[in-house]
Amino acid sequence: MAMAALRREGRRFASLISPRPITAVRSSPLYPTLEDEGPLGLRHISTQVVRNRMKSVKNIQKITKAMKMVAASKLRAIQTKTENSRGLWQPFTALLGDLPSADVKKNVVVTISSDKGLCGGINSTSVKISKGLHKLNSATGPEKETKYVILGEKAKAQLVRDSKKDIELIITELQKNPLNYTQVSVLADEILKNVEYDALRIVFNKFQSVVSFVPTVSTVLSPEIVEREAESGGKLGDLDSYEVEGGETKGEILQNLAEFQFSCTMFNAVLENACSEQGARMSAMDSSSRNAGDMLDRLTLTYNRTRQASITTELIEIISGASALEG
Amino acid sequence: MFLFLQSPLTRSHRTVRRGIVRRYEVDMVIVPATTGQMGVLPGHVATIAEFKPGVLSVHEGSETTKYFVSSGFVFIHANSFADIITVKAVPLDRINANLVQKRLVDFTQKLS
Repeated sequence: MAMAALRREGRRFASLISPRPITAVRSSPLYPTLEDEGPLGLRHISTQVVRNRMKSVKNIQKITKAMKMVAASKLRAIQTKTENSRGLWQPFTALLGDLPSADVKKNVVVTISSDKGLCGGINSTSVKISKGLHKLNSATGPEKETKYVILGEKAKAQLVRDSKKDIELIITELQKNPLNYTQVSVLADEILKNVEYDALRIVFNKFQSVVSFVPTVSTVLSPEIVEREAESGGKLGDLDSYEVEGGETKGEILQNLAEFQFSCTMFNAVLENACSEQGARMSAMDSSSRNAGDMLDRLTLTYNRTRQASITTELIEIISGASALEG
Repeated sequence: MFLFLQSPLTRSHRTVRRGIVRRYEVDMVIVPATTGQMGVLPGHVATIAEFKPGVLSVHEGSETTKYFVSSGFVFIHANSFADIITVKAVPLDRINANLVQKRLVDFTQKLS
């Protein structure tokens, strides 16, 4: 209150001596100013603006810290599931091998991504790899076709832009309920029913550690291609040495095998991607909080400088006013 | 011979889910293949077999552990390794017979 009164006094006198009489009108105490003019016409940002900025940055920091905690707890929950599911596809790979180089006519790229954002660059890397696979396949021959099956909103947003005609199936809101095998097997069933394929390539981010996610492609071949590869020797060459028991024909068993392999690999892929998503979100939110903290420090310095400058200005006004009175 | 038992979830009657990856050294395994009960011993010829839901028994010396398994596949490799992959594998002692009967009645009613 006293300060305001002094300020008013100072201003009244300052208006007599200052070379800019307009100041008196503009900076009346009832008029909220954003810019104050100091003695030499120096402009200061009002402390109010800086204070508002600081409040909003602090809120953002709180939010990002909370998001990091949430992501960490979600990660812990699915990490054990993921590690257990790794054992699922290993026997298949031991038996049938993973042949990304198999030359096939009908490729289907299954891109797995997240629904929510704020998780760093993992979705972009998956989409980049899917697009790369598409290009690679189309480059090797004109009769080769590549179709997309998209899981997750983020990949959908990116792929719909330029590859709309190649998209067969889009599936979103996968993580509404906790991930389980039944859900994924129904999904795999849908894909196998609706899409013709010679080779399915699943693109996902494999979870290696909380800070490292490796984009991976798992290949599942259709039974006909498996036969073809087995005959031509190479890795699958000893498939023939296995007696196939049960069922009517060998072909039928291999068909079931391929479907089961696909659903197991999908299950693992979906879990790994979910883990990577949470891990990426953790690190993204962590760097956000850190940046917000830095910004807050800088703003605090600016605020203090501004505050001190305005106090100094008032003092100068008062003192010059007082000295004008005396002198 | 070595046996790998893999499944994405184990469900006790309280629906606790875990994955099991277990590595045993066993003497014999009896698998409920689609063509009937199949006994697998060390030195079995390399085979891929599909099996239907049933009881899997693992014989280790004088001990036998029985599991109820849903359908799946068993790969028997030439070096006496066997991989058993199923969707569900539940140790028999965790299954409550009365609850199973009740559930069976419930679901049969729902189906019809």
